[in-house]
Amino acid sequence: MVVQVQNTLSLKHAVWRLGSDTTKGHATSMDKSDVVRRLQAIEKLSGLRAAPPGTAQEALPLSKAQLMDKLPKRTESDDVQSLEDAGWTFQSTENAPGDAFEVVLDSDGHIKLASPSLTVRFAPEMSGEEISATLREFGLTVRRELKFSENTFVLDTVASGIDAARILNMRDDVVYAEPNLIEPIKKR
Amino acid sequence: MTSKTDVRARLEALEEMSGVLPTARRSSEQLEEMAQGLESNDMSRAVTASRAYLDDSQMSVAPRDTAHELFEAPEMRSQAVGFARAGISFYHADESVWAMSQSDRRSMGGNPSVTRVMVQGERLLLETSRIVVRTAEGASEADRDTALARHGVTGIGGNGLPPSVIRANAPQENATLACLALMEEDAIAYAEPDFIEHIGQRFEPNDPDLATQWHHANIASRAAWDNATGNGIRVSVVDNGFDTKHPDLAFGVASGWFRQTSDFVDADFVPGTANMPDEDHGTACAGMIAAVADNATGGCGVAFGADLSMIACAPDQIGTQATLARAIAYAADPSVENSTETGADVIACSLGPNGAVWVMSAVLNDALNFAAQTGRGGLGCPIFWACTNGNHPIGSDQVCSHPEVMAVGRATDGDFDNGSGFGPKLEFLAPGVNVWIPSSGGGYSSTTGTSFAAPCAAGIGALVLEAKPDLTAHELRDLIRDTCDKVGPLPYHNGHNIRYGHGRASAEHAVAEARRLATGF
Repeated sequence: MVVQVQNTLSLKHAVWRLGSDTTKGHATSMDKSDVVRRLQAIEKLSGLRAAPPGTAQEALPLSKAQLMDKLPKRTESDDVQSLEDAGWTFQSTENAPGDAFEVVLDSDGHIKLASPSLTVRFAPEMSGEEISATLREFGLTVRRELKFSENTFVLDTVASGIDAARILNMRDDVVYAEPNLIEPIKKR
Repeated sequence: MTSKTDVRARLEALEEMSGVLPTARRSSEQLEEMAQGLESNDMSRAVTASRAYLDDSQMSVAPRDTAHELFEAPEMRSQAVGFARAGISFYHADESVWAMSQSDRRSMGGNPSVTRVMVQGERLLLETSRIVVRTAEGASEADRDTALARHGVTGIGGNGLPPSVIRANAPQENATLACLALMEEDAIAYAEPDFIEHIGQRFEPNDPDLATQWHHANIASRAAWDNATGNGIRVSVVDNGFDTKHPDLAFGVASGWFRQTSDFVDADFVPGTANMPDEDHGTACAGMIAAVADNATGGCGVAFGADLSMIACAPDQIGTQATLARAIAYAADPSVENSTETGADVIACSLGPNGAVWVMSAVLNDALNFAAQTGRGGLGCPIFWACTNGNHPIGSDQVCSHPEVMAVGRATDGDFDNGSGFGPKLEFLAPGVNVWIPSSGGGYSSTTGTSFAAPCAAGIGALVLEAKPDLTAHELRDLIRDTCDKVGPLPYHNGHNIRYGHGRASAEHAVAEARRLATGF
């Protein structure tokens, strides 16, 4: 089954603590509700796509004025510039090539790009077979396993990484699912 | 102030080298030969020369053998070199000599003043009858002298010493025991043997830009280098890229980089430095930590003896937090990317937006917990992270607010804060304004940012871990906090100020405290 877009979320999910540090006096800083809350706050910018470097030669990029018109006022101003400096081009959805990424406004006010990829951590008691079955059920494929976190994978979806994460988070056997957002990671 | 408890603990931790004595001071070619043998790690040459020196000694009772076991540890070997050049060697005394009074040893040609050889924390300490005594607060000199007299100790004045401190002679041939007895007296704040020891010259690298690197003066690097240079400590710098050909950077074997996949979604790990992206920012961060010292080039790093593991990710400053998470996890444990290299002891990262807010992905949270809990064999990797350069509350940045992350702000050469992130999450300040550090292309430049304050603090972390390797990441954090210089005009509340954190980190004080914890001194 390929993940379908759903706009409503059931918050009836297990509250997982992310990380297991209870022995050293320092609390971990997140739980599943944080991930879900962030996902709910991510705003897809309709009518806007970003084409990866070198992939949109024929398409016409939006002018600065057209682009600014499509961005929310609270956008961090230099994110777009950083992405353009790295070769990304912003285009209207209708003019964008098929491999263009969704453009989103994250809850921190930063413009980010949503790839068809997500990171999912499954419950520690899940076996490899059970995880494989879940992946098949949702039409997901494993891109890589993250060995520093048990049962955690970078996955590919044929649809939106954001939508897939939203749906997977409703499962009790998913510790968290989050889209892999491409973002400016700048130097300080 | 030094407490009786501290002094008593130090004295009780001394190890007596029974039967070992120093020779009387007498320079000779054999001792220079011995020193050169020790310096070149040629133990056979050193021992032969030392034995020849003893054979030529004018002692009426021949020594049994040279005490070459004192030369084995590198730290003690360097002290033995110092003593040799001062005309002193060490020997195993005949039982009859060991039992002699000090005056009898003097008569037979032995050392006229040293009663015993002690070792503590790989320091050779020669005990004489001379001790140093401080009068307790509220006690008079008469009270002190009465107390001294009760133990047969004679005061001999305090010229050149701080107020209330005098030198004294202990009557018995065990000054350490006399000091312990004196500290039972209310009139005595402390009493400790005035050991003879080798105090080597302070290391002064020959790097021509050292004077321009003002940050070394502020954090007192030179004083710290007397005890630690980061030797044996691996520091990972996670950044955009590095100048792999910079003459003042040595890339450790665990260096590597994350190459973006062709679909721009992800990155593949590439071990080594071949084709590693070159970015000025990473070059500067790495150089702040461990630019090579004493090579007559540029300046040097805070922990120039450390092994640098440079890890490049998001070279065009665009990437995913999943890749950043992998870089952090790799730093702590390279096996997560199928490498057999050893993980880092310290992690420094200076990446992130300069606005007020940064949300953290769950996978980056996992990686930070992984590094902090499983790094260094379970002791945890201390993680130093540059806070926002903007004047924003750090609490809005979930990465720098992570419980395992130390958020570092930037300080000026005048030790003022410089408008970077503030708030209760600010750990401490470190130099980061117009600092002179390596830049891509092989040179040095003046640059500003919290980006360079965090690696400066990470360098201090490396120095501390060399001095006290078994500290947990949390203990190291507490130690650096507790040893900060309380800079700035504003008051601190419970040791913290929202603009200065716990203060400006100090290499000298942090290493001194680590050394005290490790050795008692």
